[in-house]
Amino acid sequence: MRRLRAIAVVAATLCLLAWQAGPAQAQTSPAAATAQTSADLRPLIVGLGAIAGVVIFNVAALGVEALPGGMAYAAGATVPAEMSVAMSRVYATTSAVIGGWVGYYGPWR
Amino acid sequence: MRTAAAFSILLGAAVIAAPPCARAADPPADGGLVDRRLLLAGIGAIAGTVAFNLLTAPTGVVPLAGGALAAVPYSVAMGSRLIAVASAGAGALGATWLYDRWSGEPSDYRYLATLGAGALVGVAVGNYLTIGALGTPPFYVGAGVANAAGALASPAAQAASRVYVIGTAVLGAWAADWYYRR
Repeated sequence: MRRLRAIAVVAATLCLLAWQAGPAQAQTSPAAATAQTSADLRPLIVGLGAIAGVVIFNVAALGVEALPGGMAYAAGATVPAEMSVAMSRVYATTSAVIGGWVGYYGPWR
Repeated sequence: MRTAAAFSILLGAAVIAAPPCARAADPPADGGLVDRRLLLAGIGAIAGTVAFNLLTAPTGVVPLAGGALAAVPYSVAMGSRLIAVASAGAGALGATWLYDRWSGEPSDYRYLATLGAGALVGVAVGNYLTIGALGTPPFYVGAGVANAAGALASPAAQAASRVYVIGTAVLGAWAADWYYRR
C-alpha cells in the first residue's frame, strides 16, 4: 500500500512537471530549432559517455567483479557490499540514460 | 589503486558535467523555469529508473549480481551515489569533449559544469537529508566490510537508492539550470 502511494506521488509529480513544460513548438525559436537539429546527437553522446564513465570507474577501482553479469563469482559466493552498489550504479545510470533519451527524443518534444 | 580511485572521484567531482541526458550545445533559450529539453530528459531519466526497479523487482535487488548479496551499510549506499554522479558526469563531459573535437562545434562548458555541480550538490543534499551525512564512497575492495559497523540498508532501500540518486541529481541539475539562466 505504501509502495503504491509512493508510485502514485512520483507519477503525479512527473505529470505535473510534464504539463509545466508546455507545448514544444511554441517555446522554440527558429534559431533554437536549428541549433537543436544540429546538436541532436549530443544527448546520445552524453548518455553513452555517462554509462562509460560509470563502467570505467567500476572496473578501474574495483575490477570486473563490479559489473553485472555474475561471471566473476563462483556458485554460492556472496557479493560484497561495494560490488553490489557498484552494479547498482551501472543499472541506475543505464536506466536513467535510456529514460532520458525517451524523454528527450519522444513525440512530445 | 585507492589513491587513483580517490583522485578519479575528486577529478570527476571537480569537472563533472551534465546528468546523463542533458543536451549540451547552447544555453537554453525558452522562457520556462527550467529548459524544456532538460526538463523532459530529467523526467525521462527518473521514469526510466522507476521503470527499471518495477520491471526487475522479481529478479532481486541487483539483477544478475552473481550470488547472494552481502548487507550494505547506509553510509556505503550513500557514498555510492556520489561516485555514481561523479563518474557519470566525468564520462559525459569526456564524451562531449571528444564529440566537440570531432564535430568542430564547441559546447558551453560553463553551462555543463554548472549543471554537473548542481547534480552533485543535489545528491549530496539528498544524502544529508537521508542519513545526516554525505556517506562513505566505496571506491576500494573491502569498503563494505570496513564500514560494516553502521546501520544496514534494507534490500528495498537499496533498490530505492537508484531512484533517489537519479532524482536528486536531476533536481540539482534543474536548479542549476534555473540559476544559470536567471
